Amino acid sequence: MNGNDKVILEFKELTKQYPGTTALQNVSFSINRGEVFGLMGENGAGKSTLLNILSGAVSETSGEIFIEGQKLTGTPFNRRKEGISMVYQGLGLALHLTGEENILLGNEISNYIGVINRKKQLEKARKLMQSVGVDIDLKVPVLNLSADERQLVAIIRAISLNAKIIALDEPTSSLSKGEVGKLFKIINDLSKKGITFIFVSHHLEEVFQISNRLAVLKDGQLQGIRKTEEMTPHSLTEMMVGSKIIEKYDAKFANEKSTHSNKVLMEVKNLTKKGEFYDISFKVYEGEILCFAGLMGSGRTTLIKAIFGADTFDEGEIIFNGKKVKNFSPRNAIKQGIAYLPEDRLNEGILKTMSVGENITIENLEKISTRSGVIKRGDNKSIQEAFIKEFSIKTTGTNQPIPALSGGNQQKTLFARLVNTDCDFLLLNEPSRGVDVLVKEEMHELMKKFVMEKPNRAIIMVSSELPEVVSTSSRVVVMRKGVIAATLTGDDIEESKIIKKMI
Amino acid sequence: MTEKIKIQNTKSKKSIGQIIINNAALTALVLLVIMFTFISKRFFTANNVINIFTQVSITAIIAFGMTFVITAAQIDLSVGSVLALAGMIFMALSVAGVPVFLAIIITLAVGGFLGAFSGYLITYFKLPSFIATLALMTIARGIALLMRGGTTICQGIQTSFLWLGQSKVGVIPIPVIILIIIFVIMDFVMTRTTFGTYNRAIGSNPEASRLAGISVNSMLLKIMAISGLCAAVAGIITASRLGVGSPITGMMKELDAITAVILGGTAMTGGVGTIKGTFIGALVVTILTNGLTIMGVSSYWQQILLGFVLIGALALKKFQK
Repeated sequence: MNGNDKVILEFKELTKQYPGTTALQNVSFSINRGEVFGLMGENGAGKSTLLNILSGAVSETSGEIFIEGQKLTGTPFNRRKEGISMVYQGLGLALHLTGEENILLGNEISNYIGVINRKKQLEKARKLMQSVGVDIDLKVPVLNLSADERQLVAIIRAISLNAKIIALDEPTSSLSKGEVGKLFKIINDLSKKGITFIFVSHHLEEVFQISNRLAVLKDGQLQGIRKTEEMTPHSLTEMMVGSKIIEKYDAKFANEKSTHSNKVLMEVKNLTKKGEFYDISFKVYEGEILCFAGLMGSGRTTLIKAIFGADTFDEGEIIFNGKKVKNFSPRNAIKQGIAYLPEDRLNEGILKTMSVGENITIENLEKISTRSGVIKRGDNKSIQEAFIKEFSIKTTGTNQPIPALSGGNQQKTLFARLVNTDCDFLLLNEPSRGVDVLVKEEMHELMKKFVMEKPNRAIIMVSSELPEVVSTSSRVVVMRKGVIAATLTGDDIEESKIIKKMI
Repeated sequence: MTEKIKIQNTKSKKSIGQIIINNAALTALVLLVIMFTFISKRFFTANNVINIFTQVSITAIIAFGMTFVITAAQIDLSVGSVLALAGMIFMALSVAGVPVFLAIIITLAVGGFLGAFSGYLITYFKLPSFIATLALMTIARGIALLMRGGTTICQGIQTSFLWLGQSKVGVIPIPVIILIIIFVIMDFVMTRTTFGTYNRAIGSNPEASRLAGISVNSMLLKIMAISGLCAAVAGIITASRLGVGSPITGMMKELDAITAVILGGTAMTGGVGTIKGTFIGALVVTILTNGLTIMGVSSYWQQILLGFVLIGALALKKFQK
């Protein structure tokens, strides 16, 4: 048990009302100093809202927060002074500033007229980075770092602000297994020194690994506080979701893996892009889910984007349905029957100013419009409604603006968008990232159903979540530093074997 | 899918106050009309109403093109200059003896080409639209001035060239008829076609649009060309009304157009656009100036007031739900 039992943070009857929804309802609980406290719940349960109120980004409708007995008021800047530090889901950084600048933003080492001492700053930033145990180029704009590295910079920043309480919203969603281990060690060390951590995560195994106690929210209400050691993943999921729903997932595809025929749909030959991936060759068979596993930086994203035509490559060729592919572009790929689900749904996927329905049909408007481009509104709406129903997308209607949906439902909307293109070959980049337990299961079902229900279908998936890789794929290609390290099939597809090949 | 699936779009109940705020431009329009009608008996006369609509036609046509541009998260600062250049070319063709229909086609082509030129700078050279259209603005204005050494084209103009700007069908001036036709077409394109949807998509997120298979560059090129085309239409009407080709017309017209678009509800950040809204915005701007002129307010004060109206409209957006 970490820390003494002194209560450092108390939430009292916290309520947040939005027009049409209650995000939080009379939530009351307390957190002790030095604890690692998990905040659990489905998407939309209110976890992010609670953290946003704590950090001051959003104001509560009613209720109070006490830190060390004092009532909390004021702006995010005041919160930082009180010792509360937030690390948002990969955001909260000034993208055009360097790592060093971001870590010390607001705490620059400068003289009295404001001239920054670059040398001392870099030194301090480097020291902080080393204490966390990672190695990132702090001199380039954070924009140029990978998502994982950006997350680490954000965390280093929080730690550098001498925070008493650090709140982490999905800190591991872009981290590879190695990084997660490092992060947890740091969290452990810091919590022993008396720093309190609150974190939100969908990765149940991680919550069990790191937290002392946890709170479960469901539909804005507190379901209960438990000691982590008293819970099991199953009992926790039950609390988060309600026991009846769990049964659904002993559904027909859950234990089946996709089997594949001998028909080759795509053959990639000696694909090379200098600096990213080298001499990549593989085949994709009808009916399979082929998964690319690997550490961050192994070249998977650039590879899959090159196959789609969203990125270039230097050498090699791709044969799809027997024909050599020419004129690589996303548009041509879709025309030929290949569709792509981007890794970063917020920045590369959803169209924020458009509705749920429009986000579904946007990739295939040709299907429901005349030659001259006039959209048939009736057909448009039917398709939108059909997908919302078939994929169980939780929304108030086809016209709801997509930002109002939870991450998981946004992801389902994007998957519906792909299926609507009538493409038979899907490229999915981290399809379960930032998505809650239930939706993750649903997406896996949808994926398996997709490849099995019609001929000439296959999915290539990039995933960093080993349980997902193991449960959905029929074959696994492990990439390491830009080359294929191994191809695993059958019983070889299990976490330890995959990890061995990844490093 | 044979069964009809019912998905309810839930609406929250809004108070009258909220409804008024959400439709700020329309409310402003109604209030202005009522206010000016009370202030001066010369306002709501048949003559003045026709006057208002004729004045609004120039601003609105440019603003419609601008709506497409701003919806795509771009800007077109060149429209005023293209208007002037188009007017000069139109009248120069007249003096050269070119028949009016051919002259119209050539002038429109020039307008479209100039817009496409900005589009090319934006898509191929990756210049921000602000810079590209700023450049075109100065270049086009320069060419217009160069054509007659800074003076107007006022002699030797065929009378057929004046028909567009100065004739009527019954009581309705031709410019108003052109306005209505363009309004109907562009509103339809924006709301009912794939072009309109793609316009909003690339303004919302160009990268996501690209990955969804939309030809972002092709769309941008077309949108900028359309803006140039609209400016050319406005230039032809202006020159035809005035009876001369003047290289100094259209100054600041881009600002009027942008004001109309913003007042109408299209956001500078892109992804949202409404032609109907722009029409209302253009009417608000025109009626404001018309009413104030009738009241004898100097045009300098009018300009100041217009600025405040724009600030007010944007401030009000914060309360819209």
